Amino acid sequence: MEIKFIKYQKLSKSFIKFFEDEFLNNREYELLKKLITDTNKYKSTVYVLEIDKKKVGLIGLTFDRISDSPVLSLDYIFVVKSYRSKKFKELFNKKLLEILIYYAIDLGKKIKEQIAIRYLALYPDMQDKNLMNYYLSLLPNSFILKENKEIWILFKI
Amino acid sequence: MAYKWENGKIKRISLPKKISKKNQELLEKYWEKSVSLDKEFEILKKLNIKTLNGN
Repeated sequence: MEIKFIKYQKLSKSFIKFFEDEFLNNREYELLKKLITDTNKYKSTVYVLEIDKKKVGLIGLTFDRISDSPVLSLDYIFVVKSYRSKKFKELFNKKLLEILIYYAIDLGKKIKEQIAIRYLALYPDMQDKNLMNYYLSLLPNSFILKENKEIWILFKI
Repeated sequence: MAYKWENGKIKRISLPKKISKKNQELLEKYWEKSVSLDKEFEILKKLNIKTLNGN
């Protein structure tokens, strides 16, 4: 199994076609379209996960701040529909979502060697409780920030 | 930053710029304690994942 990440700071409009038939609903399609627009405005950087030359997921990352502390923020995380719930023996029985999150933290650790950052921030989509609990199971010892009726998960890098 | 779907529109939202004093104190305490995911990073190392530049 060949696994690689490809970093993009600019994406063509046709990039979305790689994921055709791999969206669960129109909402996911629109969110990815928005991420592509923001990446082309240098608001986000996209890391695409490729397995055996197939694009199977991606993360959008950006910098943010909380209370004067620099933060690496996970703008968006996406796994293609057909790979979403699968655990891979070759990936030590991990799901792709887990690999994407661990990769984001690993990137954060590398950035931290050059520039001070403190946390990785995740905003559970639609503030879904199940998703929130899933993130917390992957990142135990996270800090749950409840502020202005919004919940963010912060993980120390 | 993150995306929020509100009334059929996508909004880009930031972390709160100001947080309550209580949250600030709790966050500082959290920062001081160590957090580790050693097992998971061992997996990443074993997978020998390459990062390429797409642009």
